[in-house]
Amino acid sequence: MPTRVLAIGLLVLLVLPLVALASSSSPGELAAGLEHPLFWPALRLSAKTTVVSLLVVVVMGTPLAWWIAASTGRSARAVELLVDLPIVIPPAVLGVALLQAYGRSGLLGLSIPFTTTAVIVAQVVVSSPFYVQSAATAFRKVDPDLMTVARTLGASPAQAFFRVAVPVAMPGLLGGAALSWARSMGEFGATLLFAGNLPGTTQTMPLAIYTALESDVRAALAISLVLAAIAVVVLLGLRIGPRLWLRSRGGPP
Amino acid sequence: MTERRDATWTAELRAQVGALSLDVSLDGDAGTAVLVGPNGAGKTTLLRILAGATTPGAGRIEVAGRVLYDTQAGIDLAPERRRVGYVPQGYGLFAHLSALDNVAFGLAHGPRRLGTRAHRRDRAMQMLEELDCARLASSHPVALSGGERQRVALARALVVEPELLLLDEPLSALDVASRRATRAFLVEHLRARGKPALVVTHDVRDLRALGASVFVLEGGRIVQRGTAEELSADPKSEFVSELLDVEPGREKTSK
Repeated sequence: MPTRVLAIGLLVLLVLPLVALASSSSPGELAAGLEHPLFWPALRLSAKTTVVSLLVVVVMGTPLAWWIAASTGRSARAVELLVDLPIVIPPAVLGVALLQAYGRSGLLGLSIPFTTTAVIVAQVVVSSPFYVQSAATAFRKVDPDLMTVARTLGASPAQAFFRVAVPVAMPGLLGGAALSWARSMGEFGATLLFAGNLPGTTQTMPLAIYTALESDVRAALAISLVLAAIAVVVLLGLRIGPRLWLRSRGGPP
Repeated sequence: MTERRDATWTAELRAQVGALSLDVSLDGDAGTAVLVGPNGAGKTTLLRILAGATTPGAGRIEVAGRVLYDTQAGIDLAPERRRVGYVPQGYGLFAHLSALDNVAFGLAHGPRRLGTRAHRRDRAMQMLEELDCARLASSHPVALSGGERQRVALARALVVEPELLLLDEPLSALDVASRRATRAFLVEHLRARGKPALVVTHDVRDLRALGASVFVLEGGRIVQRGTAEELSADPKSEFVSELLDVEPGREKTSK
């Protein structure tokens, strides 16, 4: 019995804020919130930056994941650990670290901070572990025999990769991409410290919520609801997508 | 080991793969040769080396007059240029493609490329018809039985007309009933093809049905070669005598 109480208690803790958020605004208030001058620029910026950072993560993360999955040596395990670091390092710490690396007085002497580029860099750093981990796991499950067969059937290594390994690993790649994109969408701490909070340039949706909360709670609630709705769609897509994909191939539902 | 005059393929290989040290000399004519041996003897490793998926330390592989691998001459053809077909244990079908597209895969790239998609699918369909499984064309591998998978995998390997066909335990995944039918089918098609094949098996019935020529691989070395009759007349190892002593009328289960 007491264990059940504990479990239910946690569920309530998890669900209550979402229920409160969903029931906090009438449709009219929601519409008014969406009229707030912060909303559309922030949505546009979030959409733009997360799409770019997702592209960067997939294009650069896929070869990395393939290498991690194919390598058995100690170096591959070390790289895996490195890739995972941004998950455990607090975003605020990452923001400071990014300033030290790419700031004017930083290692490279660049002036990236407080630009849209900085927003994208912060998103790439925090979100890539989710994609690379998921992709490496998916690639590891690709039977090496399949690659050998593809080669004996005339495929070059690149053709075998794109025509066999990628499609076979596709559910894992899509899942990783969705998680990574959701993480970018929610990125706050590293962005605030490294990119600042400039409307139209670096003020993404989470930063707009933070800003709106000080002046207009309704706007903050409206933006929050939109972000939460996006998250729910991503989660459902993650759960249902692979199942539909399998069913389209005649497999068990 | 002496080289046969009529050999259409020869392989002399030395390789260290993990704990296994392989040191073999094999050859075969246009018929089917069978490779037997206990688990861990290096049978699959040997097939993978012939297919080009694993590189041996030293040696030479020649198939149908072409040198595929020669450490002295510095030759090491990539798998896609070897014209060696490989059907792994479990068949290695591509789960994301229909049976037809699995068969058409080898016609889409490399030396056997056919121009258009329609052309490729026609040829693949023809191949499936030859192996009596045209009705499976639109099924995905998950929906196929073991015997059906075996046929599709064979069709996929044969459609690119390999000079040497490698089959790793082609019958071990099947239940007793479909095993007999599939064995007969396999024997018939390998014979009709008239090109060399090397088949790994655990089953004495497969051995008797498939191959005139048997290689016994133990601990990375060929300990005996000959016909099944020669082997049972004079077994050179405990493995060989146990393998051939299976009572008739009973299916031996592998592994």
